[in-house]
Amino acid sequence: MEGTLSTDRSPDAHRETFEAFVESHRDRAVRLAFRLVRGDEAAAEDVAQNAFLRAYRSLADFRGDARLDTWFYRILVREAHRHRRWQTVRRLWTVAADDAPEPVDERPEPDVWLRKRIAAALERLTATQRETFVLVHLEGFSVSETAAIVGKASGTVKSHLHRALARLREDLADLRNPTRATEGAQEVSDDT
Amino acid sequence: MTHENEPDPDGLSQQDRGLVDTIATHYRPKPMDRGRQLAFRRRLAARVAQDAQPAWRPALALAGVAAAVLLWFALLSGERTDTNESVAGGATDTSTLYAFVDPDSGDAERPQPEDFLPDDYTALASALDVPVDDL
Repeated sequence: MEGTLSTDRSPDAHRETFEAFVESHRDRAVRLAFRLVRGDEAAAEDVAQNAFLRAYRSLADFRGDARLDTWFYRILVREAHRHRRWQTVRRLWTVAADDAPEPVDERPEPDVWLRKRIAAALERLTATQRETFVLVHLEGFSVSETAAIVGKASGTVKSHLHRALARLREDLADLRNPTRATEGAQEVSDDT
Repeated sequence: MTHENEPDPDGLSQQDRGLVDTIATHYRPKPMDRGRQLAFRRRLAARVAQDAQPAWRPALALAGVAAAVLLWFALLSGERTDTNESVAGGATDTSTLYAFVDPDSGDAERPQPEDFLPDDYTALASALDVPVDDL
């Protein structure tokens, strides 16, 4: 089932394949989307839904050249791209609203503080650096699978990975030692 | 004993592995509970069902709207043409205008030039035996 498509091309067979696929990939799809859309949970679910729907529409055209999951995650990464573009346009149109100060979080959880830092560091990467880093290091795809998903050569993916990691090392130097990272988060929590 | 900078199977040093693990642990959505999973599945199923509706339905609705708009434009342009024709005809044909004002009146009842002229002019015309129209 995983990565393959039933040879029976009847609508019922497609629906069954699709439902099973959604069930086994839902959590990973939402998590990947979350990491690509600035850590917004609601947006991540929307992106995953849209990706599943697009995949369902094109399921009949899936030729089996690639693995089904690689093909799907390619759709999802594009959907995340589309969402980010749309968010950028929306932000441009509502500049005045965005200028308003963010509500102050009186007692930020250590986890929230860390998440915001990580989100900000990932935002400073280029789109391809972010995508390759998330796919390879956070989601466990191989370099060749990632190359198929983002539509680049394996060598290009490696180069983006190298640059992404170098940049994150600088931005999140204190997190390279997990014990220190937790202590830092705890200090923030204690200060507030 | 492992060296701090010894690369792991992914080619990461131990410190980089620490960084990646911290990011992976702290930068993830809350796990979906049963309710959210169900809501996700239902919403997707509804969208798939909506998507599976026959394509001719929206096409038919669109065709209906297009036909209504075309009919409206046709009626509007027809009205405009009728008005232009009546104005043009009325300006050039006096008898049509008279017929429009008083459909029952014939040529005999139509006002004659002497009806508009002062009495002096009419008397002078009859004395000189000149047709009133020539005055």
